[in-house]
Amino acid sequence: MTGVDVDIRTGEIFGLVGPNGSGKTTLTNAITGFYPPNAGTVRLAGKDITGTAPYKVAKLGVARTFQNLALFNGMSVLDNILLGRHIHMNPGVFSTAFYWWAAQREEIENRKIVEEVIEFLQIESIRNELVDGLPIGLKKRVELARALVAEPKMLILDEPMAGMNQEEKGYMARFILDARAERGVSVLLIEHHMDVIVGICDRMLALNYGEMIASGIPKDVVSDPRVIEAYIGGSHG
Amino acid sequence: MFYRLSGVRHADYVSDSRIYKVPTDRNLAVFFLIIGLAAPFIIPSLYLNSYMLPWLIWTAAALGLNLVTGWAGQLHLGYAAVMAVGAYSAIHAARFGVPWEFALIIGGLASSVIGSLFAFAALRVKGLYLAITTLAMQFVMDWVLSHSPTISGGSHASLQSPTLTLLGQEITSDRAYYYVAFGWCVLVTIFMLNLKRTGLGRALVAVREKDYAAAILGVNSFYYKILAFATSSFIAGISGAILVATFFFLAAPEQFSVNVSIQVLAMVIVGGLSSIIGSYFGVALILLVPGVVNTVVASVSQWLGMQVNVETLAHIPNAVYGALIVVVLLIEPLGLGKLYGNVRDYLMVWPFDQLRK
Repeated sequence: MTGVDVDIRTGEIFGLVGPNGSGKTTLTNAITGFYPPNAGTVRLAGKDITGTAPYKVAKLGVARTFQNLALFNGMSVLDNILLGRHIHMNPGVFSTAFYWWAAQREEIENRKIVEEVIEFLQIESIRNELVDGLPIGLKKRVELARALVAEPKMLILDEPMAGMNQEEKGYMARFILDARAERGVSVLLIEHHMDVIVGICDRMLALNYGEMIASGIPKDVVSDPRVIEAYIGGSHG
Repeated sequence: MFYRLSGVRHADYVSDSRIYKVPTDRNLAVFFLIIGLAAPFIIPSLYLNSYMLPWLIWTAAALGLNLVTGWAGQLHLGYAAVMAVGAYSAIHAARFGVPWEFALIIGGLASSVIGSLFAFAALRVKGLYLAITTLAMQFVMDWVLSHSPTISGGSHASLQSPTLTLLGQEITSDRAYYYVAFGWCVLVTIFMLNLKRTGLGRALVAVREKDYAAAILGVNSFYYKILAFATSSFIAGISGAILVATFFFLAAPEQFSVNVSIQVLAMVIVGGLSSIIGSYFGVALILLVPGVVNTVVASVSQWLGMQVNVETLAHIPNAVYGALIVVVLLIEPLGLGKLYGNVRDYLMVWPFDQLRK
């Protein structure tokens, strides 16, 4: 990727689009520390976090979901979401050994926060089920819940609506808007569904072959001729 | 029906985060706890000390390995070496005059330090490579034990364990030995049960399942893997020390050789990875079945009036036990713990299983 300059403001929903292989996921991986960039810097609230290890980036307040889902199989929905609280908890050997005196209060307090998000995303009925067998729409919702309970400053959603039908997409868009409204989180939203991007994003950026081809207000970006060409091809000849 | 769920309502989070959420499970656990406490008065002391006691100590040890292999998902082929460190450290400390309570903890800590130091190097690689590296640890430890007379008393020597004394009581009777083993096994089991509901347990499972997803949630995989090795080594060390102090009475290098490591791993796998009750079953199968089969074969041949020669008698249990492992893993690859879980799930809705969702 070259010459990409993104500035996401607090409380903003920022759309990121581009054809397959245009570098959307690479950009998120650079932000979250999976692939430190060769050149350039990543700043979070003014602080340089370039090349910071992913688990430290998480502690600084960046949460993300994955394009291909990254829930922990063999665990219940509740435990998966509780893991989102990891950065706010102090799990250890001694607190496990002396659970009743050392861990119970912390577990219960965090459980309450998790339950609020479970209620917010309307997944109460599946909280005790294993994530393995859930349909993809619910899995995406559980992953969003896991990212939200971390109370991030910055939330990166990598194709949260891939494979969803119109109704599920509508729900998800509503959840994202509500999350911003209630929690003041900034969102970087990667999507292929242009209707969603135009519908809920404040600003957006289009990438192609690792370069910025357009940015600004969604309405303008999607009508930009270069974006149209990148997505559906230009007129030949 | 047997594991009745109706009418069981958890109205607050404390109640919902209990170890046993189904009353029947809790009642069963209490029942077996009472059986365990009463065992010395029910079971003849020969069986108590040659079957029950090693079963409980090996279960504690297997649970420790389960922590690292079942929970954190790291194959460990040098577990017996870690037990040896604990056993030798504790016995040397006790011979030096340190009270046994502290000697046991010294054993655990020594194991923990050496186990995690080794893990620190070994965890740079993953999966099968890690397994081979831990195997190297086993061989290094074997070599150290057989080549340093100050530790082991030489390659064919053995080290006498001083009389176990806990809380001012000299432990010399069969019953007392049993209670020490029982107490340790209960402690480890409680720890593992708690692990199922705390952030530590969740973090370990996260590291096992998807380390990149764990990282984005703020879980430092390397730290948690080291922590898993350290904790499991601590359990191993104390289990090794108790094993020598209450069962072998003499520590010898071959008690902690590579085949023991593999045997413990087999106990964990046959019992079921990250299954606590599974470890109890797995240890029972691996440790006790050969003896049981031996007795059965001997009594059957006597009853039939057949003369079985000694060599056949020695081989039949091995064959049966090998076959049993294969059969168990064929029926349920997730081990005996899962097999129990299946039965439990079935009985939970029986006889109304058509109502299952």
